[in-house]
Amino acid sequence: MRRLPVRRLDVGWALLCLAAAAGAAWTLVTLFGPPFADLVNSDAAVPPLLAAEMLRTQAWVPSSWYYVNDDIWLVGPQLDVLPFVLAWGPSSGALAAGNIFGLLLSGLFVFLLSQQLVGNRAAALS
Amino acid sequence: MTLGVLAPFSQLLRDMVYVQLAYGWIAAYLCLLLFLVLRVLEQPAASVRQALGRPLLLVYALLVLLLFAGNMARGLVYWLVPVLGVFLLEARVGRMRGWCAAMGIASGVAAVMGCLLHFVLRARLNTKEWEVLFRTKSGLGSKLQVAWEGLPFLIGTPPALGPGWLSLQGSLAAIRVACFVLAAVALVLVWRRAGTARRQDGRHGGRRRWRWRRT
Repeated sequence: MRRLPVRRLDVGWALLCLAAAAGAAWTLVTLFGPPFADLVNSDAAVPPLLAAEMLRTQAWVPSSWYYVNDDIWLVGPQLDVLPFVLAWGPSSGALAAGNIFGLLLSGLFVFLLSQQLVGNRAAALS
Repeated sequence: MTLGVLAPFSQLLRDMVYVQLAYGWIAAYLCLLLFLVLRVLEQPAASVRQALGRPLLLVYALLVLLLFAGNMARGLVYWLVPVLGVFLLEARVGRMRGWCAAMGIASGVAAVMGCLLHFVLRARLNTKEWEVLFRTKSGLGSKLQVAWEGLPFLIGTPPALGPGWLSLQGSLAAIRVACFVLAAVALVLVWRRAGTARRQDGRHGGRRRWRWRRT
């Protein structure tokens, strides 16, 4: 297989990074702005409500909550939302802030894995 | 970067990662576990006992325990079975046998302890009367079929809409498919390039990975 020249790959890489940055910026500006509240459904509303219940009962796993599908939320997005629910109460704003924080955290985990796999920080950003 | 590229195009990504973070969180959690495994394997160890005493391995075991305590089926399907499979395969070909044993022991013990914690929690939480509603009677075959049929939705082309390719919706769907393929090709190119760079590093005295020091 004929290899692409490194310079051409670099240009392609820079273009992809630019597209990624534009996509991420577009998402942050449009999604986590005012339209976010309209996108929240009952499933998405669980983290702030559970976080509020955690704060009310002072328990990591509130026994007053109903757990389905054999799924007990021990570590999950409710922990991302918790500080924002503490500050603002259970609201779509707290959920948006918690989701941004959770996305950053998730991005960090994915980046750490990618960097470990490819041994290159720039390539790990993919 | 992939998330950034897909962000403007994928409705699934918007709904299941940005708005409903739970699914993205599960994937990130598995990435963290995989990172810890690779990081632990990088360090040399003289014996299985010494390997089991590594702080990073204990952090890994704690996270596996929490994964199983939260959901046993998820821990089994998404983590323990694939990981143990890889460790068995590696041990069979004779590489890193000691590390494979240490990781296998740590994973297995953490999984068993997580299951025990799950049962303890279930006994004191509201779970029993609700789980009946969500139990499905269908077998694995039908679930796999549903997963296959849902693949276009993963790319962002909901099959229920059924748009013609010449319509606006169809064109957007085609763009999404093209972006999905482009992202996949980009990942392969990056992986190949990183592999070449790593091999060159190795030739020039870069750090050697996957070692198991015997005494």
